[in-house]
Amino acid sequence: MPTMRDPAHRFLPLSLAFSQLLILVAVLTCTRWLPAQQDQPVKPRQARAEAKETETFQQEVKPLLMKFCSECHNEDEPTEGVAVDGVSNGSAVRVDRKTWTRVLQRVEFHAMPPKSEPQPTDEQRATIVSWLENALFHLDCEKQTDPGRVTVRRLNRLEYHNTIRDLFGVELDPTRDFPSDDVGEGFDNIGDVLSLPPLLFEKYIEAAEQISQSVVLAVDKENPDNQRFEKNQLRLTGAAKLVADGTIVMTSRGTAEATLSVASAGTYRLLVQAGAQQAGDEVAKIEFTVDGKPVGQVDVPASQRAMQEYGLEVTMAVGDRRIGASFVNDYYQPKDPDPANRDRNMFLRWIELVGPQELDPDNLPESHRRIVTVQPGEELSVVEAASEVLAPLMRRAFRRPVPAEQLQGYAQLAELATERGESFERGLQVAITAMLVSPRFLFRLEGTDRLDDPATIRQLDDFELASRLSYFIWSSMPDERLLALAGKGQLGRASVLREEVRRMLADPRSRGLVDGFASQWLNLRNLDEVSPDPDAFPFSDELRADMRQETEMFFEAVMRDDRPITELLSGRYSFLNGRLAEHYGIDGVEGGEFRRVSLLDYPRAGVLTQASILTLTSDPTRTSPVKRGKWIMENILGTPPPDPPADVPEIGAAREALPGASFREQLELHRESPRCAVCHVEMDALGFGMENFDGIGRWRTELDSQPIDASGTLPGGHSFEGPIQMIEILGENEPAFVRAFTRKLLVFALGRGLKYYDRCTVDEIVKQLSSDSYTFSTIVEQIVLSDAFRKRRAEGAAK
Amino acid sequence: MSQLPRRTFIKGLGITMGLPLLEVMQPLASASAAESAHPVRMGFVFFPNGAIMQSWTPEKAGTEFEFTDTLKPLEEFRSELNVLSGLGQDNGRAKGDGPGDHARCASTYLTGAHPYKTSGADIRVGVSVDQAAALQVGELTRLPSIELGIDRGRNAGNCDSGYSCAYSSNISWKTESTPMAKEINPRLAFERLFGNGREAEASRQKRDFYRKSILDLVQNDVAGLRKQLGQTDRRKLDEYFDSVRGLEVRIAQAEKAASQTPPELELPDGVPSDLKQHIRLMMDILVVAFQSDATRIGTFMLGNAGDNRPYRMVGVNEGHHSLSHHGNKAEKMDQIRKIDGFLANQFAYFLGRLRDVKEGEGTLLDNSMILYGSGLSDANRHDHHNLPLVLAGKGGGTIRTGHHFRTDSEVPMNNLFLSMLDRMHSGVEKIGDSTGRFTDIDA
Repeated sequence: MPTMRDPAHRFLPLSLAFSQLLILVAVLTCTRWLPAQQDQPVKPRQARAEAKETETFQQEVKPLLMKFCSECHNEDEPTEGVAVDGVSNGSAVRVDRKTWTRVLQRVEFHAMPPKSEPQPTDEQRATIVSWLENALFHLDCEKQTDPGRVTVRRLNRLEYHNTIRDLFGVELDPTRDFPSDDVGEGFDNIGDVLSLPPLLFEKYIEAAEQISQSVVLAVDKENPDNQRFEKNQLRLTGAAKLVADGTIVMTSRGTAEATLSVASAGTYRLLVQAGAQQAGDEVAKIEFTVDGKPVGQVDVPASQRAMQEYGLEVTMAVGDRRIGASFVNDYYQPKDPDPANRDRNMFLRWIELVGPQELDPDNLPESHRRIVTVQPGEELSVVEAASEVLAPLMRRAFRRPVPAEQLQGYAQLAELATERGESFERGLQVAITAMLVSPRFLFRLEGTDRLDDPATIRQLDDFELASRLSYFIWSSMPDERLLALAGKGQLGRASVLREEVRRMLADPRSRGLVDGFASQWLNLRNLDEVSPDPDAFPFSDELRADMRQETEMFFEAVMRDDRPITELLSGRYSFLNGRLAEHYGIDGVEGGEFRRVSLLDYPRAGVLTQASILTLTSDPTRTSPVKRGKWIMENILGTPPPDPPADVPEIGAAREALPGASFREQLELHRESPRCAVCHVEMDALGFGMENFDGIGRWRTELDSQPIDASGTLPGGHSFEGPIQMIEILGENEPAFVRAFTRKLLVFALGRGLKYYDRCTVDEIVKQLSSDSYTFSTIVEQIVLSDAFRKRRAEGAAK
Repeated sequence: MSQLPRRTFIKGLGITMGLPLLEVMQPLASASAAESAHPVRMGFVFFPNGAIMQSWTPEKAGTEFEFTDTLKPLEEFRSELNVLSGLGQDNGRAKGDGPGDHARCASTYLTGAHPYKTSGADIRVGVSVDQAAALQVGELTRLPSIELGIDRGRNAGNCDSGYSCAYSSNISWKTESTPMAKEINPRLAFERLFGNGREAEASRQKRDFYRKSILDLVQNDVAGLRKQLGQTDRRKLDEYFDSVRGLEVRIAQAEKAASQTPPELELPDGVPSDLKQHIRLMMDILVVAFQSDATRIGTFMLGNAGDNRPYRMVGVNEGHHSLSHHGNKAEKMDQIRKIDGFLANQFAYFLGRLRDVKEGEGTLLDNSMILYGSGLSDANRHDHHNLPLVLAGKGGGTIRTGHHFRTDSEVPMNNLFLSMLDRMHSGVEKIGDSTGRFTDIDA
């Protein structure tokens, strides 16, 4: 079995012309294979290979380096920290992978030696490059692969949301106010980047309290919760007016209202603090309303100077409710001989809802009945009863069996509440709150490592594996079946894993792959931030939402129908509603409902021609071929262009030298600078291939009365006319797309960036895919079966 | 003088701290120096993408300078601020890491540290100056510090040339690897400081009683586990423990400051869609927070680094970041000037609100030091020197104002931070590349 080189260099045979593009693509690829942070300990392997490496270096490579590089890069004058004269073998290079990777890139790009200096022949350049690659990235895939180390991962917003949903079987929106999770490697589930600042912990405990009170209902008679509203918190209608001292004055019929959220159905007390200026035969009256409907009246005999509290009992249902108080019996007789008996007015300070005083036993939520299965009594202490209730819940929340002594601590919290005279249910709320802020819930802890031997590689236990599976495919917790399989020790079997992957993909929860993976791989989430100029483009939030939905449904269809992933690039169909179809100029689709539409008669294919992608790669006032080209290279070809040179302003100067030139002509000036041309030749060609789509994805054939030129030639001479031909060319290059997709999905699955040693994993998956027509389920299955997914390398103890 | 170590070195921060002895031996609340009737408040207002420096920097130095077009809105505060020219943040430069100046400039802005270039593994920069101050005086107030912003962090994709988005969306860093997430919803920021106002004192006490028990339990539950983790995992768990302890301190503070009536402020429920209103509400919150001594330290990002939003209210329809690469084209520079002016106007609003609050003989602005600025100067060239900076407020009478201080050679921004930290009694001796203190401002 031969050892494998950088996989980017192992594309399938292709036409000669196109292969040159691929070489460039491959060249750019090496940026991704950055070495691991800590070098692996040098193993006593392949002494012979190293001797060979040294020999090649001394005989073939070193002379070239001395000839072309050493004048500027020597130990006396190590320009940019590079010195070639002191290097004698591969080990010397591996000591500083970062620097030498940069050297490799520069030489490959023809960025070094500088154009003003003597240049090596292509063959000589290839000799240097291939030796450096081998020295830096040589891997033997036959040997045990390093599965890498995944930093403990905190649940991100999506995972938290889904986990609460699946844990309690209720749809809440607990994460709405959480700060966004920082993104690394293009995704927001990367352990190293997910931090837990104080703000977030405060949100966690507030969310936990609200969740526990929504899923278990409790009455606190001693000290019922109250929600009070006054001054600006009240919405005033009719004659109600707020005056300077905070009093609300109603000189005739008027209403004060507030909206609040009722967590538990039951009986409450609705209160006002009020007083009145009395007149006429009746005492001033307040009518209470819930959601605008009268629920009863009270007399308000107190004067405005000595306001009193008045209230009544009301039954409230769960949800957002409006509570109100109206002055309903205005009296005004300005002619009355007694000046003190002419005008009846109401004065009000606040409205309050207190309770629940009593729960409605017929209206207990499903979650309450499922959780509260026993009550303490003579036979059963509070701690025992709480343990019985909490044991199944905590096993699922912590995603592994919970030892008795651990359970005990949480059950005792329930007891703490009952000892203070509160109900058993209230105690359970406290215990559930604790469970939801425990690191065992908030983090996906993967057991413990052997600190004495950082190089140890171990198989994940079945519960750890269950969590990796469920958070990969569902962005949520493992279900009962996964936990049961883990409990029986069967989950780790390859046959079981294969079966579970199919089952999980078929489950509606695999929507998590759309919300978690697709929305980030395709940068769909950034669509929320784009802000097209209304003068340039007719855009609306509805259209924004439609665009996103189209791409999500398209991805989901490929996943659910288990289609080849290459259809994402080239599929001649999509999902449209009336508004989006009109946007695209497609007839025969009416109404708001999305449906599958064939695109065979239209110049659109796959995600690249969808309005979502076309919009988020545009500037507010115009398209950006550079952004589009870069987006394609990053997300479709997996060959992100390297960083631009530091002194970009020269482009600006060049642009000014040609006033009145078309945008395309201006951009073409880039290529006059060889350093820019390296990337822009490809980036711009790809971007201009999409120029028939405007800044919000509408088809166009003209721009500023000039016909659009969407033709182009990719490096290597492969020419195209317009987007469909260009996508066809990209489609011929299946392995590049498949490899790029695999790598993105692997990053998402592992929650870490890929290292050079992950190449074997990627190679293996791509190989399996090609023998199985690239179906979606195969790629998920192959990732799940890989060592990187099922194993873990330890890490040393804290220094 | 004493056997207690006078200095501790906080590893990796580049901050050497000389803890005043008093504070080591006594409970913080009685630390006399920090406990005055009108303590000094420290604020940082950051704007993205630099500025058109020709329209920012006054021509003359000294007290006779003229306010430039961009700074015009600040003229009414002439006697209460300084314009600072010539300061730089050297660690924002590439130093061999290539492009990514926007991400670097934000993460370096208040930390003075060079961010480790990574898109995922090993996020690392340094402790920011506001957090260094919070370490010292944070426990005296309800909230050690508050972090506000207009935009959430980015949600997908790359932020800036191989840098994790954490770098471009945070200027405040609690530790070298923990950015302080910002609150962008005005109401939630307010409630974090003052409670929701609807909760009765008894309910709060009851809730906090259980919270304390819950926090005790979860810490005990995993204390043993922590010892068995490798260093990276342990660091993550330590972030958790730090945040738990932060909440415990807040609970203790709430007990002390019980039943303080929250200030009056009318706030919408969600995030306002109008940028000006959003910015001003956040500034209002900072003002009431400082005024009521709910916190003494605040940071506010008017946009994440490299932000590309249009400013339609002043006729700018193209994205800010795209425009900032103006290639010295007059029309694009004009657009940027409009943005610079708009933002300066908002800052003027903030200063006005601070000045409206009377404190003793002076104003809240007198007792504050608010640094307004960006981590880049000319964004077209990604310059990290000669940053656009205005330092407003008299730092409780310790800062002389009314000057345009201009230095010919680059002075590390960290020198200024050291001087500001002195005024928070923080005893920090060195930050990053600081070469001394920025004594020009000393009254």
